[in-house]
Amino acid sequence: MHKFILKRILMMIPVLLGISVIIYTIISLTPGNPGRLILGERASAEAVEAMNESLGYYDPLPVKYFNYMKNLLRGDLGTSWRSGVSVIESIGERFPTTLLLATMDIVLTAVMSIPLGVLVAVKKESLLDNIMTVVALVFTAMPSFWLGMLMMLVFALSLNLLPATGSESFAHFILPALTMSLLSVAQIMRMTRSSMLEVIRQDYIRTARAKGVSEQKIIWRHAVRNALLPVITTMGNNFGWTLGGSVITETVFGMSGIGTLLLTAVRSKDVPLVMGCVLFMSFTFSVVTLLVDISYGIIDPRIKAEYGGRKG
Amino acid sequence: MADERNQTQEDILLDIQDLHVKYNTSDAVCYAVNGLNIQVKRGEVFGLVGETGAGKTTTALSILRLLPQRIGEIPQGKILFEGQDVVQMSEDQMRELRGSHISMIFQDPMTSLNPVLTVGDQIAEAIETHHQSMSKEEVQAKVDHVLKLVGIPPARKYEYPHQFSGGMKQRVVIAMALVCEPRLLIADEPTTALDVTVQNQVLDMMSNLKEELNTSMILITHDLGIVCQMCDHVAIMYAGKVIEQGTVYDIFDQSKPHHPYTIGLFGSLPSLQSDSKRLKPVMGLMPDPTDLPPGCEFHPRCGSCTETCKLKAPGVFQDGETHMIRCHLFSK
Amino acid sequence: MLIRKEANVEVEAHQSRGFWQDVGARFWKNRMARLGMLLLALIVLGCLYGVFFIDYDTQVVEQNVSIKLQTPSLEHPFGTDGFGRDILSRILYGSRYSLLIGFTATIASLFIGGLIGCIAGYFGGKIDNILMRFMDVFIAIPSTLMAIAVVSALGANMVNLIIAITIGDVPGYARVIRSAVLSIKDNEFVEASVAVGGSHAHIIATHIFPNTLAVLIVQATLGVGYDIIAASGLSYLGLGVMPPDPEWGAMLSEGQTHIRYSPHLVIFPGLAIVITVLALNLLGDALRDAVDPTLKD
Repeated sequence: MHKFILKRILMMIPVLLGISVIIYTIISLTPGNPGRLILGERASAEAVEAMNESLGYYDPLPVKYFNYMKNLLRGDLGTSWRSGVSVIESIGERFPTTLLLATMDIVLTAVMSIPLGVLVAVKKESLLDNIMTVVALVFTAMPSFWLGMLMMLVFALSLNLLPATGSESFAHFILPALTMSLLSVAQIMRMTRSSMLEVIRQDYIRTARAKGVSEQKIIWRHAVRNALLPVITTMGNNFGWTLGGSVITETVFGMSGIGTLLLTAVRSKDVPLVMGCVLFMSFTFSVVTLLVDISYGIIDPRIKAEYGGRKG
Repeated sequence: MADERNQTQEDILLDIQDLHVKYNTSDAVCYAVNGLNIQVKRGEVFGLVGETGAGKTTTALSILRLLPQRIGEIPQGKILFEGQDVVQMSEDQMRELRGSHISMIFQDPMTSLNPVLTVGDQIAEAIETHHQSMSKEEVQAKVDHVLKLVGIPPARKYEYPHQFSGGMKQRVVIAMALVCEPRLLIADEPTTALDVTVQNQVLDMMSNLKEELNTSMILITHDLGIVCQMCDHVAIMYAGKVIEQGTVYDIFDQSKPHHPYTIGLFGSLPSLQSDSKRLKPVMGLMPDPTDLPPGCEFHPRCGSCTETCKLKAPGVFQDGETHMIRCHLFSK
Repeated sequence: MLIRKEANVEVEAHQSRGFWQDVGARFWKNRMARLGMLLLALIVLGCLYGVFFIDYDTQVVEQNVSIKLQTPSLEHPFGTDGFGRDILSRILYGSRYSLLIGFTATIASLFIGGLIGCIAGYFGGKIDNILMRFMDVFIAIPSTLMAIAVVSALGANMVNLIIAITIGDVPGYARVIRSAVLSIKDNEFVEASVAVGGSHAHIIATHIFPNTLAVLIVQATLGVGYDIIAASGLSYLGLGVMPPDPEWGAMLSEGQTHIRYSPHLVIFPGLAIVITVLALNLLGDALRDAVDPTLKD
């Protein structure tokens, strides 16, 4: 198992490097004069020039990238051109909000979608199944920010049950997390359903039936564990959406997470901050993908055994 | 076989009478079994032979009522197991029967075991399902015992199916089927997916276990060599019907009369005695079960086909006590 | 050899005609497919109405504060917005952005992704490895973030929005098409074509591409809906089509200020997005079931 984890971590390094190259290259295309942005309109041309020189603005791109990565390995993502605050500090300040939101989203999604997916698979073509099919169709067609506004309209502005905007208390997280998860519930539920239907067709389910095992046990003991394998992968991949989507959800609900930090940075052309946020979120996504891979190894004995796990 | 004539009803374990099975798919109705009659006696091995699509597996699944839900249907017929009609049983009664009194071994051991549960857990599950009062230790002792019976070291019960070879997996499946000492074991092409050398080991082991546990067995196969080696009685199936039935001596005795299809089956086997240069396969294909030909189902492929064959279904021709043929050639 | 080649082509052509006839028949039998077609036809009609009968200057952007925030009435069926502009006219006019962005981005990413996938799958080996590792890196960047990075570097307008969405979509299509190519490549008719000396381009164009078409069409139909949502999201964030242009996401962004007392400002543009995407998803699902009935549960 250690070998498996180690191998996955090593495989991640080139991907992280690739991500940083691509993102650095794209964001470097941003036009603008950093010295002018930092020093403001009234600074002299010479001062601006000196500032640009000290920032390495005129270095060729590979040199700039190399310097950036050197600093990154020391945990330094540069300082914001606008506020002068260290980028890593701003991110650290905002990350807990985004992390809590993403975690709540994942948990809510799993709790709602997996049992529901199993249920509609077992009751295939029942009324419930048909209703859930339609609900899922509508939800997949919904943009998250619109669903967010509707939720805000109903639960915050009309019923006054929850706060509409902000991220000060736990209550502030409920609507945004629910918004994000409702959209993935539709997808994950459908996926659990088809995965279950696929597994139920397998020979080993028939073998279990031939042993006289009860239908209840066949579903929960034999089918679900096998059916969840692809579902977990999808949920892991969806974490990328969650991070990307957090920009939108945080904007709708006025939460101060990394998403809104990134958006402010983009609007003010604060290149180091944009770079830091995008890199940080992409790296986080890669780490989550890694964790999903590892948990896959724990659930599926075939992978566990391949890497010399416990025997006998 | 000497006391064949003295058999009484008591000796019949399974009696299938006029069984019909159809599959209702969205496109068409598929008539898989069309009036099947067989009797399996206690302690014997009954061979069910035929090409792919003859209805052998459907028959087996019907006995356990494991036909695909909502699609498979038994519109007519009786399956009497120890005198009780399986077709009429409730789902709860069926569950009690499955795995404890009637067990089944499926064709492909590679896919018959759940990949995420250990082999021991899967065997233990069969015991726990039918003997709920048994203690954990007793269950584990039984698992160890049955693994030893099929020639697997009990220590391997903590391993997962992917860690076993094909032959070993089939042993596990057999262990699982036999652990509750069923009275009837249905083996659906148990060795088709295995290497030839492993095939013989598994077959030997199965016949030994059958003797030891006094289990009857229905052996489904298309391999006549296995039939000759293992079976007491043989039924040859075509398009969901038994077209010839008898003791293994009746079927394999070339001097006796045979259904043209049976002759065809034997003609497609290589033989060391005869000098023929080529094998003679049965020409044509099994008829489409959604659109069976009128008259005798075999007539489109039959070399001795007459006008009667195209119109009328043949009756039964009885050749002695034990040998039955369903063909117009003999019922004149 | 020549005779054999011709025979092959004929068999293939025959098969493919039957195949598409079957797909068509299955498609029309599906109620959901017909509903999707109906909805899409309505949307296209609405869009055409916008193109021919709605004047940008007087009906879309002209402000008339005296009638601002009116609730739906006969004169303004969807009400008016915070600047007194008719919401229905704006939605009808705005449909062009969503459709244009959705279809252009999908076609562009299909083309680029399809090319990469075909090359990787067809040639295999090193080329496959390099291309697909490159795609892996792209997939590791969440597509919304990628789009934000691209727009932030290039500036917010419709063309850059299309570029941003296209870049995010390419690796997914490349993967799908690569695996479709791999499964087709080993077929006998491709081997036969190689045997009679067909060039790579010829084989890809005549054998591989037509056979991946089914997968492509299904992916594309579902992709357009996804891209429309992505585009409206970026416009909502102010990173796409900018107000006062009535892109639906941009309208929602403007409308949110008035959500408490004039919810119709956010309800109608949102419904427009949902119905459009729903129509496309219905079609995509139905096409998928029609192309490969075995996939249907």
